[in-house]
Amino acid sequence: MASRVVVTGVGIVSGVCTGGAAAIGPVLESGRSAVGRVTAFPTDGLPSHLAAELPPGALAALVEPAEARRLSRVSQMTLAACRLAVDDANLGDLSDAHLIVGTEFGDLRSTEEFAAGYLRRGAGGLSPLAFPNTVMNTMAAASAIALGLHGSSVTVNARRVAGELAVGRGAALIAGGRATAVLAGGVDELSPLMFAVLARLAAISPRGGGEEGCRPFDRDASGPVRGEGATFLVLESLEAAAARGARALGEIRGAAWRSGARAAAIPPALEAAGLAPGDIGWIYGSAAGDPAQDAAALRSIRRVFGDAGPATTSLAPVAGEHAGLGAFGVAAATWTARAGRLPGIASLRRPRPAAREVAAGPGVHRVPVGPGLVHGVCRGGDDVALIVAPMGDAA
Amino acid sequence: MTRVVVTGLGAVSPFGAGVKAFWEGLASARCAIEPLTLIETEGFRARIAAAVPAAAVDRLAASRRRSRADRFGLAAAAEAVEDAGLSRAELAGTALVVGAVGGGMLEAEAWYWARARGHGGPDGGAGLATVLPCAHADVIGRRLGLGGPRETVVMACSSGAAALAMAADLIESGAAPRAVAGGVDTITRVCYMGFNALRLLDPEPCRPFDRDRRGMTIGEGAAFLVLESYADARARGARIYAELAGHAMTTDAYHVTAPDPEGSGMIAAIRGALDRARLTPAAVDYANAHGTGTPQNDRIEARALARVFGEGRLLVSSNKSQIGHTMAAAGGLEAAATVLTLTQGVVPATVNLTSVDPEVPFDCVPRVPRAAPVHAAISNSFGFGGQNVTLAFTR
Repeated sequence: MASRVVVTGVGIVSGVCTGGAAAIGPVLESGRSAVGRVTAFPTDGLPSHLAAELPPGALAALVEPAEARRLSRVSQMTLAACRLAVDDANLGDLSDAHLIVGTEFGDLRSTEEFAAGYLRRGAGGLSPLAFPNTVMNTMAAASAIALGLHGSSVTVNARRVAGELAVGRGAALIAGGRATAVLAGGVDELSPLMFAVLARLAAISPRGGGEEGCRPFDRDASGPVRGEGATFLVLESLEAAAARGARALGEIRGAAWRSGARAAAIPPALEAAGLAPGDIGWIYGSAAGDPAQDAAALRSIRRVFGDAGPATTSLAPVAGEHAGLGAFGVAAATWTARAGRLPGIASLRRPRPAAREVAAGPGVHRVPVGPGLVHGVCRGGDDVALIVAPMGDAA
Repeated sequence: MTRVVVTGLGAVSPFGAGVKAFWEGLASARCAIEPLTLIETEGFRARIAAAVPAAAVDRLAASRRRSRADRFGLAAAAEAVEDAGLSRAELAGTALVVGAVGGGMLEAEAWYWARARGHGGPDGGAGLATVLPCAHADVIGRRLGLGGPRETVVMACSSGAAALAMAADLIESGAAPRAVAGGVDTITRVCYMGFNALRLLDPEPCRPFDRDRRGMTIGEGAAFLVLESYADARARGARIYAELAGHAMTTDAYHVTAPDPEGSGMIAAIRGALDRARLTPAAVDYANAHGTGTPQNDRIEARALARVFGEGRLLVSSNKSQIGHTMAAAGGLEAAATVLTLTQGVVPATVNLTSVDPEVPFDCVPRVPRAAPVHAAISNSFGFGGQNVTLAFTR
């Protein structure tokens, strides 16, 4: 009954890189970061000025001109990343495939434009074509149409962990025999309204008078820095992938998600994978520089692994916090599982005492080739754990 | 395979708070559609809706500081949990899947409108803190002490039904023994204006399946069901309303706002749910239709039903004729209505139906509810983006 779940394709559209699985290793080895001063809209008068933006023109190379005219920007990102993943997996027919899109803010930009049309010009200012974009499933709908995908297309909304959750649900669909191929990932874009509101609410760096920047596990952490982009994975059952001779980048051995103040998803994910805590060699965590969130993530990890757990990193300083980052972490984990290389946290200077034993500092670290953990946490809310292993490890 | 049964029901509907009010309204063939006063309607074609009555909203237990949608969701979920008689320990392992679209948009709009008109704070404060669809799940999960997997699914007007299907998946896969699942939505300016701009609203109360129908009427509310594995329900001596015997989700991948004219996605969803339930079409007595009252939907849905069930025999009715289209809540409310149809042996009517469209070859239970033994029934929910969900319930 239970099928093994393999990753056969990756599509990344982010500030730091765009491409398939082959793009991951070089960018993580390089230590590059897309965090910089926002250029797409003015941030004058706001306390925050940093974000990890997509480079100008990045999307133009990835979507057809007709799609660029018709689709909102965040839908273009989603479609572009899905296409890259499908190409990377060399997957032809998507008619039976399923799509799971994780997002935190959806198409907020279109929603604001739609409302603004009314406030400017009354009922006559409303764009009927823009209305569907106000519903968060618009990215999934646009992508399913463009890809000819007729399985379910699901949009999951969550704070901080939507990408991890989407991949986890996709893996569960395959493991439970409900699907043989799933495109799963996450997407968010920076919008001027969202950025301004988060900045004014001090939900992003700099918070508490600190210096602006993304510093997970650091004593000088001052809040997260937002990013944008989309990362999608092609997940397939091992049998389906083998039958079509697909290359497998890695395996999702277990996935679990739990909620609430005492949420603990790592133990059930390990159990599903048939592994013990000592089998886990490294962790991609969701720490993004929010001290309370990072502390909650550390507590969740330490409850399972003790004080001296596996080396733990975060991609938030690389590509900024957005729902695509959770799926980016899973994609990066397939590389780490194979290569035994873990990119450290380049911004880490003064680790918090609780993180000193585990937080991976600047540089690329040697870690065991073998299974690791991708872990997403939203304090008081969701805890998501995915066990990622190289192929062959589970045989 | 794990059987999934319904052991609790909760509702907030345009008939008021509670399942009792909901069923009494349905069984008495009332129509809750009235002039819309919740938001500005000047300059729009349709100025009616099925809102939750103000007196019922005032009596909801949750704090008035919460968003209207959070209050609906919390009340319905709390009723379902109480109805199922779950202990605190049982709730700690219970999953929560919420179908949502608007989130706290109504309150966020109030802030945005005020700001655009020159009076209102710059930061949005509380109005924006609860705007995301996932805010409902955070509130419900925390207040009811639900610690299992937590998900928010956004699938436009099929969100509530999708939540039930996804919760059943969680139970079938063993991720949780039981789940609280359903949908919640409120009337918002954005959805009211958008459906108006698309000219999908009937200026008169909607008339699903009528030859002269001119569109839908929007509504609002919330409904949650407690789903449980049959073994767990039996073990704790729970009252079992019905079995959620099958469910399926498909995507048209045809057009963002228009259904595939051939209804192939709908047909695949209906057949998928029947297959999973091991039901033949002949075993199904009743279809609780999506039945929005738009010319397109009702014609194509009727064609899809005829393709699967043949013309004639099946009873078909639309709750939307009484409570309007409650959007993300619709799948939840209509699932609750379908379950009650099975247990009460009464099929709710399609009110406002005077001359059945000749393209609808079914007994649509016009105006008067029908006493009839119903052993198996389906509930259809379709949404923008061509998102089709069918649930199959049996006694």
